[in-house]
Amino acid sequence: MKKIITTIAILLLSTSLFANAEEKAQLASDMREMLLAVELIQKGGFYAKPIMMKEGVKKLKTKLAILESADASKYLPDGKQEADKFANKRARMIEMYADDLVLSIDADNLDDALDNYTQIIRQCTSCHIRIRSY
Amino acid sequence: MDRRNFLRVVGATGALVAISPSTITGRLYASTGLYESYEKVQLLNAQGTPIKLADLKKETNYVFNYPYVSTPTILLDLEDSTAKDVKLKSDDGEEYIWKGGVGKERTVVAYSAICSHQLAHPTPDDSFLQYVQKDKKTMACDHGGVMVCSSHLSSFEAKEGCKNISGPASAPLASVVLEIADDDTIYAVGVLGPDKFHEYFKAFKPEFKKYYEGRREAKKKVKESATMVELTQYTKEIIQY
Repeated sequence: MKKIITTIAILLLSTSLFANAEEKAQLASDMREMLLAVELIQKGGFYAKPIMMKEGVKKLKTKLAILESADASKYLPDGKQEADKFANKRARMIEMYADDLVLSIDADNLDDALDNYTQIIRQCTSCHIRIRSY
Repeated sequence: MDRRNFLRVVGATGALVAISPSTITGRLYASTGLYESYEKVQLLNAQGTPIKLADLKKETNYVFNYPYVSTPTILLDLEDSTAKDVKLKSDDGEEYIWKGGVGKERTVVAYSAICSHQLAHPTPDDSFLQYVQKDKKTMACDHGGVMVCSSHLSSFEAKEGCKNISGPASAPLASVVLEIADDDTIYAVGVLGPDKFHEYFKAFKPEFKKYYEGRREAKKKVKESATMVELTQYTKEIIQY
């Protein structure tokens, strides 16, 4: 009986550890995709190509939606899980600036669009400062 | 001084100011101690009645927007008397003197609730910045009686002009200067210290659209009166680490 209980406990533990590792790997992958999306927005800004900027926003928002729907405390590093609400807020702020960036482009106001891009970067770094303890 | 020398002095001063206008503004700034006076505004409760000092609950976060319609201020009646004539320093090294709280026991203070680090502030949806009571501890500070920004865990000593005491913030919170009338009603009259209004208006344009119908509206100054409520009424969620 003891052996069965121990085996079940080990199985549950390893499954949960595996799930956790999988979630973190997925997060790392999503973060890389978001970085590429942000780079695309920047490139569009540098070359004055609004369509490219919008494409970057679209890609960014797709990944943001995944991030926002996930429980941040599950993927944040050990000792930083308490910052889940902070991380979620940053994600919401990025979305807000991304939406405004598109509105600025549609209004033919590239200056405002670039301001929004700057604020998107600021939200990213704000979170990384907290999570990575810069 | 003869006429020629007088003209030389006037000419040299004019040239200096033309080259560097901050020579004059810098002096004015220093002599006023980073103080800016705004509209004199009376604090009212949600029913529109003037708030008196005696109405305030101890160690409770009260919020009103001042000096602009979108810039939140936190007012507190601390349990203990505040310090007097505290020397504080802005993030660019300029010194100023915070005189202390108002009221009989000098316990009532008000601070601009925009974090001096990365501008976190209470919104109708959430608040990462607020006062933490004396008997509480947070991740940001090993003692209570402080204003805490739970975004990056900075804390500010409430009884000492909100001097930055821990975390990444490199400047105090600006304080809102209060005046108490003979009938004990409360007025806000100005802002002392390194306010972050310029950066704030630049950074949160989409937020102003959401809450204030745009930046232009958000930048309007509060006139005559401001409604003050408890933070729990001002915002949906208080986040504190």
